Amino acid sequence: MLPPNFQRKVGSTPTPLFFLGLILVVLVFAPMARAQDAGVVDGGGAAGDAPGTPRVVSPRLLERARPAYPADGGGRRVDVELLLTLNELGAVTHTEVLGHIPADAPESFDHAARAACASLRFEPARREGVPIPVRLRFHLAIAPPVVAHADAEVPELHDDEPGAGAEGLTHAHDQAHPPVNAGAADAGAADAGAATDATAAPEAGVPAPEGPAAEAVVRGGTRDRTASHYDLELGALRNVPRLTGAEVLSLAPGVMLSNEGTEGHAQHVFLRGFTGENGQDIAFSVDGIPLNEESNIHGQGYVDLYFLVPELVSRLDVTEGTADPRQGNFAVAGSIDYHLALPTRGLTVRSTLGRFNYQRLVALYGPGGHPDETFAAVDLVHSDGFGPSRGFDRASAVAQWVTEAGRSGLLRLLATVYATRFVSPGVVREDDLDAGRVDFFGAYPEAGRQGGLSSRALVAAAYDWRRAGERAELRVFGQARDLSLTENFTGYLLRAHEGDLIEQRYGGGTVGANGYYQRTAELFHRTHAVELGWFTRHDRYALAQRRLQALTSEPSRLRDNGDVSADVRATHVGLYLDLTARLLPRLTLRGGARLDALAYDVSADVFRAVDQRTERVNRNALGVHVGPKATAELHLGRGVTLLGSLGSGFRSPDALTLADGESAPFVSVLGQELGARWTLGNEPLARARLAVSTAAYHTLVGNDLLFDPTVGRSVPIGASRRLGAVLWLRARPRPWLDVNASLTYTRATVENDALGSTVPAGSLLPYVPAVVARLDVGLERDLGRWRSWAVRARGGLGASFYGPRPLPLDERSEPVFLVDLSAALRVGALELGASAKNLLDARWRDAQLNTASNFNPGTASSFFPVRHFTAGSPLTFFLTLGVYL
Amino acid sequence: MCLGVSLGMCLVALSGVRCAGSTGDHRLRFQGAVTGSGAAGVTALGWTLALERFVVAWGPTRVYSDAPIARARTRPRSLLAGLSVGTAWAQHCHGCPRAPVAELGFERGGSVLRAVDLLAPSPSPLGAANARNGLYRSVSFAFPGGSAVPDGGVVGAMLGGHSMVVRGTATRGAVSIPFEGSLDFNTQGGEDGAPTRPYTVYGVAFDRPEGLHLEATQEATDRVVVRVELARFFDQADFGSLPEPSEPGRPRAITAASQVATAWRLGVRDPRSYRVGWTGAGGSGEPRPGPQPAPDAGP
Repeated sequence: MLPPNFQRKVGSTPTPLFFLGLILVVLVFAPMARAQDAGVVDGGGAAGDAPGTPRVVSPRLLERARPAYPADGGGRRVDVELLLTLNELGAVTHTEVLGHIPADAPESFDHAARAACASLRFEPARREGVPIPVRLRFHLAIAPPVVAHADAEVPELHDDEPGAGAEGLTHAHDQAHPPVNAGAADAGAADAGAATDATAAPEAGVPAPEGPAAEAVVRGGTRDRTASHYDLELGALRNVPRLTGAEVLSLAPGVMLSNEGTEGHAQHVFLRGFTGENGQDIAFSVDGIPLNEESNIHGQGYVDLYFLVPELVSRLDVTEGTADPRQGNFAVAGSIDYHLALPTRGLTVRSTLGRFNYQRLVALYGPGGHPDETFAAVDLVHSDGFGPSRGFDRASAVAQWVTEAGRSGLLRLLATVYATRFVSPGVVREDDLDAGRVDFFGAYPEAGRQGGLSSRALVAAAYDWRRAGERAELRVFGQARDLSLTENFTGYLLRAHEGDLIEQRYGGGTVGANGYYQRTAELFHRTHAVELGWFTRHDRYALAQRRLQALTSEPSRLRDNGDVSADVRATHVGLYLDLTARLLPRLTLRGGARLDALAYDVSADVFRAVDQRTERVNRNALGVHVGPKATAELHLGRGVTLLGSLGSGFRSPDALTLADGESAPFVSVLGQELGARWTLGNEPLARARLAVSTAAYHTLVGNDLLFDPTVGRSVPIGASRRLGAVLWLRARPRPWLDVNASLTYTRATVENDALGSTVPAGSLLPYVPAVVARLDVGLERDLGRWRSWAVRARGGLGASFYGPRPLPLDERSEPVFLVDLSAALRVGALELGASAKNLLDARWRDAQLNTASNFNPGTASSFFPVRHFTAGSPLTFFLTLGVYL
Repeated sequence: MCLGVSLGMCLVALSGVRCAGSTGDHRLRFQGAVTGSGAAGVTALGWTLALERFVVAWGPTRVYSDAPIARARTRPRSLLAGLSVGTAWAQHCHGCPRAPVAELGFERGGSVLRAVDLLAPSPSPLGAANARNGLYRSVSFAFPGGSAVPDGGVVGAMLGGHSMVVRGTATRGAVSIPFEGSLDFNTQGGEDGAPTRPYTVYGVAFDRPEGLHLEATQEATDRVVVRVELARFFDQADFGSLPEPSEPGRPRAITAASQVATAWRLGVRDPRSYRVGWTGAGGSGEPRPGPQPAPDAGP
């Protein structure tokens, strides 16, 4: 459907071929969707309905059940059949157990099922758009081995225990299947105001939202090591406009994204006073597979998240701080784990057109009868960009398959292939902008063609195993990765005639495995737990950097001291131990330690000036880091929990900076945090209708670096400190409304006089935003029916505020306020949506730098650093047509 | 809705919040000026100079924090010089040159090349400095090709497209030699000989050898003044080696291949040919004349 050639000039319009293809899709598939959607005999209603009988829409499950596995369960699976009574709000008001299989299962399964169903939430049944009470048959399978917490005195659920409380492997059939009763729906209950004896038959004309009998494989449980742990289920918040999987990160409190290039170039992820250049200060992963790149030539810890299709991101597991022993390399500010799933089953095809010739086609497939974590997706994107030299093309394919493996296991297979090619405008000098020599969205053509190509092929397999009191996970992964970047941020500063364009290349592969083993034990009538985890990773990459001639992009005729040609082999082995002790009914202590060893073998070309020869030199180094972690959790009751934590995080050094035989030095940080959390109704955080948390944190970096322009490189400055506070709220006041909001304050300072006392102790570290605020609002609501088609609306609002940032020379950036908005209406199988990014058309600076440059070849260069910036995206609107099959 | 309104009000309030504190480094504002040592002077070879014209194409003047006796490096020693590791901060200059703490000769991002008459009765202004706090220790001067100087009026006309122009009389004993000549600084060549940047002299002390730490300035009164010791330029010059003029009565020409021209270049490169003074707090004021050179045994 896409035009055969992705390359488009700025301002060009999509080819007629694209529109024809779009129309073709609609014409071909719409009747099929209509046929499925109707399912209604002409002139009639549901099968067996008398003519004129009001149509009843079945209730729709919003929140699944997570039963606690009974202590006397014996390790077997029991299926419990229940009859639920729902009121007009979709809440369960009465639960009746009809039976269970096997028949000799203990009654504790009935109790567990009944208790779990009390927390179910439904979109209420409706008759002609009016909510009505109904009774509904519900099937709940409770599978082993989930050990419920044994401490009955503490009503709160400890989600992080192996299978505790809310965890379990369950299968919940979609509420529309099987039908409760054949025959006409009795709508008299609502009319007569009687108690809920009415029985609702599912509307035969209602499209099965999940296709055939859907099974949801629920693997729950989170690890609350700090008050700043956020289990962010996207839900309706996925309707907030996001063009990439990386933009989902804005949901995490305190995260600010910045990009000095175009889509395709890794973003800087600011968090807790760390600038996170190219993602280096956060340990990123997707379902446990590490994504940070070891010794990437562009930046240690480089993370490319553009392979993630945003529609597939179902949950973010965010741990801010360093208190979790599972956090390994690069977890300096925290860690973020993406979880992928596709809640909408069947085939979904969306086509988007937007300003600046933005074109996107995404196809998503979730086979019915399989869990949400089984899916396949293809994503194709093109854009000319909002200014010169900002175009990009991207293709991504992701597939995952999840299935039960054995009695107690779950197998997950993931594969993804991705490539993107992009052009970058480089930076603009503020004084050139002030003098009118360049436009705000302009670029310096003399700087040369900048941009790059990034590709990835990733395969992974994970096995999750559970048994009574035990749980284990094993994950293996392999990746091939290539990155090519050209950039010129200084123009003709160093080379007055050839220019300073450089090319960087990074290519190779990574293999690794990780996992853990958990076990609970009863001691002094309380449940305790121990976890042993391990991590291995081996990277083999070729690194290269060389100068290019800016105007021709041909290799420079001259050698440069910065030229690099090297091979890096890095091996990482990590081990951690984590203990959980419930010493008192309301007090839980967690503590552990992590040990990581990294070995480097570097082979690099070294130029010998004495004889003008280049020879290969080998060097190797090894470093070990030990990081203690501890958390204390105090349950005050009424859903309030206090948490105090501390931990040591680390980041490995860039292999090219190591000397032979050196004990590889790490970036080591020590963090502490104290906070509180409250959830309404004492519900688990991920599903609470209202949850609020607040925390104060402190992080100390033992020996930090600061760029000293007078010497032209980063120099040690001793210790630096980061203090801050965060406030977070998640609310679901209505089943169709979801709100996520956060406010973060950070103060990052140097501890000692630095840069020859030019930067006295207590000075602010530059570029760190003091205030970051974010609001996300998502909604999804059924609007009833129009003719025979179900009508559904969804929308989203996202607002970001970044306070003024301190810049070098005691300057301040301007505050930034951005608003994104989307709305979509679905009728039957067709959906039309509109969205806007930067709705207020704010003119804002994305990345800001302080460096010397000269973009006028042949003229004298100023060596004094001045402000440079990359322009942020202006108002961009999109139209999307979707087809659901 | 209440939540949204409350958050919106918070954001409006937050937009006016300015994070308290400073990054430590901050801008300084002051002016610069350059002057010559006067029309009269004595060289180390005993020639007494009476100068009638001395015009220079003056390029960027920069102040660095490093020691004045060290040869200034335009690039760091090695990209692989890893002394330690830290969280690192944004810098995108691959192989950056050292940045000066102050720089004169650039305004609004563009270079300002000036034709300067070093025999003018008052110092010639060099414009406002781009400057920051820090240790002011060594100074560099750049001399572009004269043709790079835009229309500089009368003084620019005297340059005639050269980097330096001089005219005067050198006397030693009973010998008096009128002379005139010019220097053309091809910009310093790169590795392939292609010109890369103006001819730059490094290592001149800022006010005193240990330097001066500047934290604050009075923009109206504080300035850095450069004094060029004109006679020092010709310390090693033997004016007697100049060829006789083709026409009687005309001054002897300093040709590009002459010993005087070579000595002149050496003098320009010698940091002792310049004195830099700071008129602000802690400074020594405008630079005083330097010590007279020890006379060499001349012919």
